[in-house]
Amino acid sequence: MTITKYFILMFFREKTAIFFSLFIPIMLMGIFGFLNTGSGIKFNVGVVDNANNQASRQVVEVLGKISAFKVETGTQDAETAKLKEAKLSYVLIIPKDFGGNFASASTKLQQIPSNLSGGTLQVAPEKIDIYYDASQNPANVQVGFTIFDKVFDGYTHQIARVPNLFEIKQLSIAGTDLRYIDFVIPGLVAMSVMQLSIFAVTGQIVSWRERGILKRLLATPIHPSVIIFSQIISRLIITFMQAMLLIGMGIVLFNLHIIGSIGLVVGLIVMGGLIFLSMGFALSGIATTQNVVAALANVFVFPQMLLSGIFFPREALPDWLNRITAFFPLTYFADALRQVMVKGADIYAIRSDFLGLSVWAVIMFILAIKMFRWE
Amino acid sequence: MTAKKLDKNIIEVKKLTKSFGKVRAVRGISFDVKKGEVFGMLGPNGAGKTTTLEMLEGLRKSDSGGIRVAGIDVCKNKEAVKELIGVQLQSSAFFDNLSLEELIKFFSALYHVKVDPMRVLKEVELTDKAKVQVKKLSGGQKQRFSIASALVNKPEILFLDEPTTGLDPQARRHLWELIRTINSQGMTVVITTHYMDEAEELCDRVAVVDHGQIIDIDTPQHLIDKLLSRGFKKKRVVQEANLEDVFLDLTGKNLRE
Repeated sequence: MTITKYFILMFFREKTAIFFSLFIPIMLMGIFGFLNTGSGIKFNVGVVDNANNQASRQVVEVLGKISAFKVETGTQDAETAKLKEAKLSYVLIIPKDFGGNFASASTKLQQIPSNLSGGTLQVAPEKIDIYYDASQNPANVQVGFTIFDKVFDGYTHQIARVPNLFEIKQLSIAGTDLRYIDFVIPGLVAMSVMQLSIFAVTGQIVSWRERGILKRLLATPIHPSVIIFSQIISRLIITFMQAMLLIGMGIVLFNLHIIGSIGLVVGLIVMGGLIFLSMGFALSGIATTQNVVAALANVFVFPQMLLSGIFFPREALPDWLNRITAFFPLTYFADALRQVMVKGADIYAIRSDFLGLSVWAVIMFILAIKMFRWE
Repeated sequence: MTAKKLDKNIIEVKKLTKSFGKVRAVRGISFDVKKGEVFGMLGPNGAGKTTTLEMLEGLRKSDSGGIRVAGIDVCKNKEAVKELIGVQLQSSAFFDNLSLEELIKFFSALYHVKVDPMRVLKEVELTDKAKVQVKKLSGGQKQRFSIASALVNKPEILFLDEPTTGLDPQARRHLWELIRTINSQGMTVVITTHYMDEAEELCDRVAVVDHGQIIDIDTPQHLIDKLLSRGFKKKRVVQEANLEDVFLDLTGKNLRE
């Protein structure tokens, strides 16, 4: 107990280490969080209002209310020039005689207010030209046109007093709105647990061994396993606090919702911590000096960081790589954490991840014991 | 040196050997250490002093031979031996970020004992540094702290591996004083050194080690007498003072820290 206490105390006195151990995950979280707070695609729309009457001003007003549009007005020459410079995505030309037709249509409609059986109302449609930048992503161009269609359809319905027969509600399949930040935070937490555990243990143990501190401990009657055990416990407590801090920041800054059981999240973090701490002990047994162990640790850390589905789903990887990376400890860990945190999975739902983690825990623990050296 | 009554063996080493690959570091060493004496192991670097010491301390397994320390077979029960001995290693590094006081508490936990850290620090005159970290200490203070960490379990035997290497003359003398004080309280001290003046000053008996073997064991005076009886003569007449005496006379004997 005393030994564990002092190991933790030693860590908290290492101010720079604390700062850097938290700096990178928090910075990453910040970058990914703020990159994604914008509300999707935004189009710049230039409107050339040649009519400048009540009807045309109404159109401009309606377009201005669409959140995906940023509307400005100007002369035809100025607006098309901006379109060519790619400062605008669309230029809408409202002709001089705009509004005449639908004013008459409106009158006609008022004259036959309850025309239930009558034939089609013959109204010549108003003409609006929309220029677009053909160098843009065609999918985005199409999205813009869909919005225009919808705007004018709605406008027509409003004028013609036709009720909307359909109401479409957008529902995402997760049952909740899964944003990118929700995807990335559990991954970042998992990644941080891995990095903090591996780098902290390898750095410290190798330094202690190089300086003969481990040998001095070995000269005391304490059983070596007590030292390793207290070191793991103290590291686990520290890693756990760091993970909780990251999750806390996710909740406060990015409105992260933890849907699943907190107990399961805690359990997973402890398990992940044990795997990567053991890995750290094993690596510090192999490596002889600080430089070697840092390089060696990176060999294990980087591929996992990039390929375990932390920043992007592993489905984006080539098939063969996808199959290999499925067995990475971080893959199991990040996936289980994500399932529980943002999708509310229970232990049964993550049983395959849990099995993977258990196997890794056993392997790493045995390796740690086999590889560990005192001098 | 005042005569001590030394009869009981506290350490018995018989035909100890140890090889590292092809290097035979220790080649059949046998000696006894009497209870209450200061026993010195002299020899050039690489003679096998440290390896021998580490085997006595239970830090290294011997290839063959027997070691009994305070009546306990080290090869069979090294944990029990570690309870009874205090160890100061050649590279005496300690954890960063802990004060001396905290380190003593930490070590007392490792030795399963409860001690007053200030009492231990007082023994080595470091009470005023209790709140300081090891990296802020001078070389002599570090060695004294290293000895303090070896005293937490009130050991019967204190092992010191080259405790004065790299210290200035004042700090060396101060450490000798400390070792003598500890020894006068009844603690057996085993010390390695390659300073002959140190051995002459401190040790009741010395073993001269080279190439993993003991060449001779005796009191410093007897070893000198033996050499003289073989007709050895120094080329120059020994002066009444040497350069170290001059240095200490000019700079004073007070500890600089």
